[in-house]
Amino acid sequence: MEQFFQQVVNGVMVGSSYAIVALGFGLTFSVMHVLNLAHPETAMVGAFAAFVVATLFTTNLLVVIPLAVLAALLAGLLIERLAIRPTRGRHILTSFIATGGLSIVMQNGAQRIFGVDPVRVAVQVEGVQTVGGVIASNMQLMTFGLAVAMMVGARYYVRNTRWGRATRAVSEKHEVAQALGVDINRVSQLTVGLSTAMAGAAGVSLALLHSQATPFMGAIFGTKSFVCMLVAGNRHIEGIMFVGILLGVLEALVAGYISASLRDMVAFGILVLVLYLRPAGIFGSYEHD
Amino acid sequence: MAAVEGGAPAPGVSGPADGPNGAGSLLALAGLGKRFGGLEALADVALEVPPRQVTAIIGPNGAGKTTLFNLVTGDLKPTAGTVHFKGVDVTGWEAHRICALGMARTFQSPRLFENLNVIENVIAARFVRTRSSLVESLLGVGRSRAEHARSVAMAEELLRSVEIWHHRGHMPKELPYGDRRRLEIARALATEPELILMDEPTAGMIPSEAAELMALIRTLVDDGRTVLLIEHNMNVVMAISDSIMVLNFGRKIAEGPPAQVQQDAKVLEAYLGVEA
Repeated sequence: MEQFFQQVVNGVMVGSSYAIVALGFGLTFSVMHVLNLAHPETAMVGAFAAFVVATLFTTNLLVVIPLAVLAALLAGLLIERLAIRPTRGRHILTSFIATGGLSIVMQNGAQRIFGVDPVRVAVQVEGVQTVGGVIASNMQLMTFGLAVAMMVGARYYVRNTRWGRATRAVSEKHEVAQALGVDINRVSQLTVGLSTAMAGAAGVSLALLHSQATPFMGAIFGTKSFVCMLVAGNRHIEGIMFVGILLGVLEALVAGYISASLRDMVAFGILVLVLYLRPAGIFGSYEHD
Repeated sequence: MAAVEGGAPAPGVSGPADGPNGAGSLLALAGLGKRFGGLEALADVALEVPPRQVTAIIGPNGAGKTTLFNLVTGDLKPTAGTVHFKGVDVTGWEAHRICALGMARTFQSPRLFENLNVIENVIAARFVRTRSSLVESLLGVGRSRAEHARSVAMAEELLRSVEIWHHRGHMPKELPYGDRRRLEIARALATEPELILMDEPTAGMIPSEAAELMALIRTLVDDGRTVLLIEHNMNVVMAISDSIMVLNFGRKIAEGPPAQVQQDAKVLEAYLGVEA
């Protein structure tokens, strides 16, 4: 039983990172109707920014995390300008190609600069917490806390701020929102900026938890986050968070009790099932104009 | 109509433009045209909309009325001509900037935000009149609280004035058709427009609903707003309009006060056929 709870705890920690990246995927898609395939690469940017800061300057987390988030945010704003704004309102494949191309450039650019091998992100947070034999490191708890704070913040932003309300209006009928005075380009920047800043934080979290960063970390991680968005549907932020965390837990249990090599199958197994049984996602999706 | 081009004041000056009658006009169109490839949807349309009046655009289906609205509000870019609003040349401006200058619209069939409840639909339209930054509104500090309180108060007042306050917590899809139109008007008013464009506001309404809506439009004008409307219901048009422009095949064929337009031979021909 102890082992079970340990796996659940580990799963929740990884799953919260899936949830954060999936949230950004879903937000960008439901607001701009653009699938940003380069979105997970901003998590990679965050991870490498953490590596650079930790290696060259300081391992103080209060410096490392904000700078890494900032790097991901800047990468996100660049993606918005280069590949999202110009493809808005066009066929969805246009944005696939534009953001997919950027994603390849970013992966290979990182490989060119940092090499193929994982780099070591040498930031330590000492100490563990033990509850009834189940262990969680302070590092895990810290990254989990960060993820929860971002989820709560994102939900509050969308529901209760004037920007969030404008964002919801744009997501549903962008030309009506514009006729009522909402600047679509600002909403686009804001949406992609928030999404990628969160992805950056998730990227740092992963880099800290695994003490490493690799140029292609965005690929598998991003695909799973994308699956979370599809499985949950984009109607409820809570739904995306729930599915993200659930996926982390299921993966941990499969890896722990069956075989680690089957872990990556879980996400795609769930995807096939949900697309077959409930194509709009478990919690439903918005209908667009 | 040359007076519009020559006599329009410099941008930023909101003094009255010299219209053909010497009256200041809030909205002035000159030589306005729109081509969709080989199709000329609208050609050489000139119009002066005086403030605090109801101006109606009528014409058979496909005459270019909604295209004209889309050109004025910035939803479409004209291929010829100019749009001056409050003396400012707004030709080719993006829709949100034109709205910020004081123009709002309703649509032919109500286009509400179906995922926002009734009062949120109105509050969402306050975006253009609020200034708080993302950080302020996330933390609920600075301008954000006071602004939000003002927006909520205004939204409630607007819902009361269009008599759908009792629906404030409902989702738009739960509203009867006439109330959906009222909500759309309240939403447009929340942007504090001087000019409000209404595309067939009484379409699909029963006569008693249409009469109530006409009374509402009158109230708007009495409050100092200007209304430009597209309407098919001739009883409404003749009763409510101060002046009427008639479009046919994308061109203006007549304009003037209702009594005059009603007698116009070209108008009768467009509506009734050649025998008239």
